[in-house]
Amino acid sequence: MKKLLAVTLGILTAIGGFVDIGDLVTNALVGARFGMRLGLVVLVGVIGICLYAEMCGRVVAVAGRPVFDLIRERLGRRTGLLTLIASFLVTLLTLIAEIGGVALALELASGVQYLLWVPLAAFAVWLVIWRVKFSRLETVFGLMGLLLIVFAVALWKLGPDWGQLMHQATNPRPIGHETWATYGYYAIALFGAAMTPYEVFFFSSGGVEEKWGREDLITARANVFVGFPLGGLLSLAIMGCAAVLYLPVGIQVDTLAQVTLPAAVALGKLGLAIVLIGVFAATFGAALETALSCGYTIGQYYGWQWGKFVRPRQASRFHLVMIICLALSILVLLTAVDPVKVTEYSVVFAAMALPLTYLPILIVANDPDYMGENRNGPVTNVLGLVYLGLLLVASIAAIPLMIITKGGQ
Amino acid sequence: MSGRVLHAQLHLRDRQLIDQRNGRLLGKVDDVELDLEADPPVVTALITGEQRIPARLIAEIDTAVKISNEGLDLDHWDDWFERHIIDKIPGAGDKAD
Amino acid sequence: MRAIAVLACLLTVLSGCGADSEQKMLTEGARSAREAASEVNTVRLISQQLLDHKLWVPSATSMVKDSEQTLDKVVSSFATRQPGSDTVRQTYDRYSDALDAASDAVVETRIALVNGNLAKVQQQVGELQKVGEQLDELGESAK
Repeated sequence: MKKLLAVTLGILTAIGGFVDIGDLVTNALVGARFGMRLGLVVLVGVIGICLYAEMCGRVVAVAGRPVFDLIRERLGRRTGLLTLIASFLVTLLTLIAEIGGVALALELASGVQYLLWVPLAAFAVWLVIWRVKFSRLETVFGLMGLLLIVFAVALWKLGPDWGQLMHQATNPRPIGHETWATYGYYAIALFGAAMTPYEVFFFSSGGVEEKWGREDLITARANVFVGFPLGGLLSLAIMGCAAVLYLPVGIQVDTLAQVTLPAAVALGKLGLAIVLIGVFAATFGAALETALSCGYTIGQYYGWQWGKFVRPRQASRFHLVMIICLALSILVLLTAVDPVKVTEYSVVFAAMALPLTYLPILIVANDPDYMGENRNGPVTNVLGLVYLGLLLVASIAAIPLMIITKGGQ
Repeated sequence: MSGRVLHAQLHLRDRQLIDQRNGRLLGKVDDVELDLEADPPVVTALITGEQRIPARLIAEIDTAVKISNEGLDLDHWDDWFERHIIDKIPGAGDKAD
Repeated sequence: MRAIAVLACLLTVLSGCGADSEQKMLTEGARSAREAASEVNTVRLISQQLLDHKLWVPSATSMVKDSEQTLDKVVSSFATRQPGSDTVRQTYDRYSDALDAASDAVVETRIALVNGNLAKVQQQVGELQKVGEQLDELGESAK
């Protein structure tokens, strides 16, 4: 019974933890411009993250090694360093976006300008990392993030023409003023949002933090195979709300306010309150995850003592990296750069860093030395390779499409 | 240890170094020092940063390399940042709760 | 080296010394109109929700301010365009006037919100509807 409770809790946490500022903004933006015509990409992205997160979880449970350990080991010092720089910068950019998201959510709730919230939000993130136990921070913010289910309720309450949404989803092509270039660009953005590298860094390092062993494989798999797809459904609900409310009247999403507005339209003040708490929790939780991931990647590349399972003073460089990253985030956001724009770029850059992140995972998950009988089966490998191909295409196409479409215009 | 055949590139390079006593993470194997005179060649030391870890300190080679941290100064920088920055912040020595 | 210089001169002449051709003005104008319409429709939606008691005033105000800022950027970026001839100037004015009307409507809505003047907000919903429809039309005038 206790075991079942733990599994359920893990799944609920995974759902809430799946959605972050990148998913919120990108899904709403895409829904408003393309309806559900890019919905399939979310599906493809979710399957991809399930596939690779499961491999990560398995490697951690069996061999006890987190992802960036493997990246350094399999790609060597040089290529490893290149991967480190790319993943670290993308994760830092995501951290900046998440903290901006926390501040924007607070602005929407209070009416006080978001720039004033930025230092406070970053400080709060640091304080939680400094003081709160790993398992607790993961559970609390994951469960609060679950409030975003209100988007699904809102979509249902808006009373859409489901047949039409289905029709859009099954006709994947650009419409109106959109071109194949913008369509492709946002497909890559959605892909990047669903498979952001920090998710596997955090997931696998979290496994080490919580000292997973073989007996935890079932929990890890339940989190991945149930939690992430349900998180993906949440993403689709966000897209659906924008598709119903914004596409017909030509509203383009470029603020967080527009992301949350459907909840108010469908459910009034209560809906808005719930969605704002949900957005706050989701972005705050993701800010924790990305800040920690900044520390995890560098710490694991250099082999420093890292992790929250030891006291801060025992992992001094790990904590210092996170403090510096949070300070940098404040500085960048205080230049008044638009956090929503930062988010849009962060997911595309994330897509570019994906192949280098996921290749070593696939290699190690096949290594009999590491994995013994728990290594990948043929089906997993075929799927893994197909996705690696997809990631490579997305990674190569990202920059040219960004230039051609001038960042999606 | 003696007699185990290892592929130095694959089994040693870029692996995590762990303190056998307390599980502390001590850095990465940046390079491997070999005695090529011997037949077959044997590993004489592991290099991490500026430090040289003699082969006799290697305790176990698994998915990471466990060593006994004797007479080595592998915590130098971690200690430095601990003393000069992290320890000055309240709660640095507390267990999270 | 000389070839590059000649090419550069040619390009400058072709592009009318940086001024916009009719086609370019139409495209850019329509794009700006669509972007402005997006903000105007957003502000209308927000105002409507406020009147229906589905939003708090502070949230509505900060949402409207967000849209106002984005609209400002659209308007000022279009304002830097340079019509190359009289016909182009007419096109430019047509879009420019519509964008200014959008700006005015949004600003007035924001002021009404800040002053808590709900009657005026109600009135602005109609105005925003009108301006939005006009922008929608202009937005469809070119790809």
